[in-house]
Amino acid sequence: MASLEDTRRKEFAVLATPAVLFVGAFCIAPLALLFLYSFYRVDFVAMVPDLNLRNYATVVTSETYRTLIGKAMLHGALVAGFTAVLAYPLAFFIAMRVKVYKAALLTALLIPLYTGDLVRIFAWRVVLGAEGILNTFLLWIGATEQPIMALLFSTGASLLVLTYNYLPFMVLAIWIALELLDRSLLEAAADLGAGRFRTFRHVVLPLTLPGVLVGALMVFALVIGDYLTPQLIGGSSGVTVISAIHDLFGAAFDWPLGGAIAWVLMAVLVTLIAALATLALRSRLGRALLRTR
Amino acid sequence: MERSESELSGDAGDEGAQSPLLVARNLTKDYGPVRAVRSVDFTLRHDSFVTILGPSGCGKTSILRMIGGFEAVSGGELTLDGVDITAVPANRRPVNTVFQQYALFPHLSVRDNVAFGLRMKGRTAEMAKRVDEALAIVRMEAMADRFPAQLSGGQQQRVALARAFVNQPRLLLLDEPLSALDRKMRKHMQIELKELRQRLGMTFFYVTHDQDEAFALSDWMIVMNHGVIEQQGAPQDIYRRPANAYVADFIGGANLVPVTVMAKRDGVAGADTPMGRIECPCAAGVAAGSTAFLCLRAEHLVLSPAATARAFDGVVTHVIFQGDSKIVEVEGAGRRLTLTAAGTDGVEPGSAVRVGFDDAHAWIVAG
Amino acid sequence: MERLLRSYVWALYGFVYLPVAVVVLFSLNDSDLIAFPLKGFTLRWYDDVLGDARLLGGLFNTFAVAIPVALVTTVLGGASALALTRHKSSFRLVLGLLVILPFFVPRMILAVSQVAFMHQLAITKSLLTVCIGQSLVILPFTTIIIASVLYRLDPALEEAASDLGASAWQRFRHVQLPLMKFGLMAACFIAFVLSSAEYTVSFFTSGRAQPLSILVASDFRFHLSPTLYALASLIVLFNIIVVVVSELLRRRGEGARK
Repeated sequence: MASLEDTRRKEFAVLATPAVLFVGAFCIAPLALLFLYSFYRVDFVAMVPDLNLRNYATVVTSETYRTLIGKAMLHGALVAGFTAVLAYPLAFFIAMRVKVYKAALLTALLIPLYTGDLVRIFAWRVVLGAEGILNTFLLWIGATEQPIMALLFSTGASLLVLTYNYLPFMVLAIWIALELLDRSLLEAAADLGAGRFRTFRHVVLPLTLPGVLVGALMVFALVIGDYLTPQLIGGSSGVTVISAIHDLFGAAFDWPLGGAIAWVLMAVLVTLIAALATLALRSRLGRALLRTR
Repeated sequence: MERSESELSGDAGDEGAQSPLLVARNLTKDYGPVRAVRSVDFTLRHDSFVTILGPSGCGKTSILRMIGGFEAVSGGELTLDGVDITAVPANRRPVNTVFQQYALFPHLSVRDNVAFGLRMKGRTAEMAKRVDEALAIVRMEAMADRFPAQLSGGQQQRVALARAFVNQPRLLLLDEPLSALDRKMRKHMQIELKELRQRLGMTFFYVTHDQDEAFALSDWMIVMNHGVIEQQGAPQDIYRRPANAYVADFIGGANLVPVTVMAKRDGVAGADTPMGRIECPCAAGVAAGSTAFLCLRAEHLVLSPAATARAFDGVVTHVIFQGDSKIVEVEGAGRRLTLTAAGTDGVEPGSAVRVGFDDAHAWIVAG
Repeated sequence: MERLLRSYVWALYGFVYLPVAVVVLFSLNDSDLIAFPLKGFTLRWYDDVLGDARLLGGLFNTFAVAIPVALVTTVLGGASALALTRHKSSFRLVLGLLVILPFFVPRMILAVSQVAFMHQLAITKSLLTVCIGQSLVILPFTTIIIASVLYRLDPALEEAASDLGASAWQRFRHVQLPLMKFGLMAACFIAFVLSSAEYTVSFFTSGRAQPLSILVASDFRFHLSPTLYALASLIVLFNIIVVVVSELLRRRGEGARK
């Protein structure tokens, strides 16, 4: 009687175990070790396993770290917002207006993503730098006398490139939501007298909000974790909580404090994501959508 | 189990006629807290065409999937040829299935699809010959090298059939296999299926929600509702003598007139009806002193009866044109009744009519 | 309205490709300076790249990492995707969260925790540690790509295989594998490309042998030249080829299903 279920269970175990072991050994275990280290103390050049909460006290009381964590959250939210606004029309176009070249357009969007952070950041520096394309172009056509320095090494530049970097994730998330949308609902809305705009406002947008939310969560997490962009594009404004962790693991050699910052950041991140997800699932729209699935 | 005159006598010899092919005992299926199949019992005979009929969600597909081995049995047992198969995985059951959407392997040609089962069991020696035979039976020899995507719905259907029966299963399961076809194709395939079954001498277990299909095909019918079997038997018996009001209504939409049962003896009930007292055969659940239903089929009610024993007055409320006949809805005997009438006798909504029926057609079921 | 939407889409694609186009443009410009106006056409920067032993060594290391990473993440991702899409186990949610976890953990934190781990277990940094670190980061991508292919397969196909007598292995070998073949190949290619471009984790987990991405990063910081533009253009070109091929494969897999 239980034999059929046993076979299925065994199959599941065989398939799932390798990935579980892999992630367990090389992600969970290292993160746990980092957690353990975060209670250690550094004595000159050695870590001392003298468990205490001093590092957490430092993180929580330090104005600098609090500001950096706050800044990371703010930038994450801003870029999530920017990408959502920029991506939605594009995702809508690919999902609703394109038939033959759908896959081609999506692939074209992903190619710069697959090129890696470095090449992309590299390219943007060429575009935005003091001797970069934009400035030399502006000088060349006589639009400005001096190169505009603020184009590069500013928070604005950093946000621009972050938005550029993570736009494809948002487009994909929204595009999937739009593709899953039952097309007869659009016909039903039109049939009931809704124009294009109202169909969009009252049918398409609410039903694809989960896609926007998933995209926003991804972009948010990725922006917070981004190390290269603020450092190489943001200039002096490029100090982030992530670069602080990097410094503590590098030159400053204070792994315990670095570990504490990392865990505080992850705790904030998980809390925010969980709160947002719960809020979304508890909302009237969320509950209605859950039930239809 | 009661026998009926319509049943095909099994040609599997004495033993086949005696011992059943498949026995389900207290078969139960739970999906979490939902009990989809509630402890049902039934027996499938050798060389017969059995349909299991019911509305969607009645548990009929769960039963097929348990026999096929795709769903674990939550309670009870299944025996095939006397062997308990309850815990046998799908790939070791001598049972094959024709899936609702055919589930043909898109990456394999028609020939390879049909050969799949034999190949899995390592019967490569006889494979080519048997696959050719099976394809010939469903007249798909010419399409052997095509891929499923290149076939029409009806052709895919035939390949799915061949792929299942080429393995010579003890039992062939069919999960609403005609539901994806258009009406004309469906009628055609019904005839083919019936002929195919006779030719193969195999037992078909056929799930459907379409009662016309069930009547057209089966030697034995199982009517389900809400996870229980409401009635099983030969199609004619179920139509003529439904076991209860649900079956009477579900099968052919009988008119049900509430009556009070005064007496019951030897399967004959005496009841007070709006048309006077009647004595007629009744179903098992009917008891003296209870309220029951007089079950009248649309085709047994006649307009302007000449010398029939029983008649009552009514007013026509709706007339639906059906080509060769009309469906007439009449308000009478305290109910809205439907009847079929041939010809054009000036019956219109609002006209007063007299409706009659022959006592010989009357049947009483419990409420 | 429709015209506006169309123009917007083209403008956005312009934005997406602007930096790439600029890099390619200047990699072909006959001047040491990266400035307008353009001086003329040359391929000498490409010559320089292909003659640079250090970069070629880095390229070799990149391949030495990317090939095993692509294979490992495809196998692990394929198995997880099968478990996630083909089973109703109550552990499915746990598995899904676990596999997606490395995507949501900030990559720097993942990298420094690897450093701590290697320190604790006294593991020497090498290309092997780069492979492990990268595989972790890339596993969510391959799993999702393969799961998206499996998700669209009719579960009845597997039931049909069992019904016709196929054992679990035969079902995998004769039905699931052929049907997910193109998805696996696409995932493998994407994993290769992601591996070759990965920087953060590679930087922290690599020892003396360093993949190309790390060499490029240090050059990029200290010595910006059209040679690097040429190298970047080559990387982009290579990625375009690999991604397009993988996309064609994935679509071929889907075409067979309709």
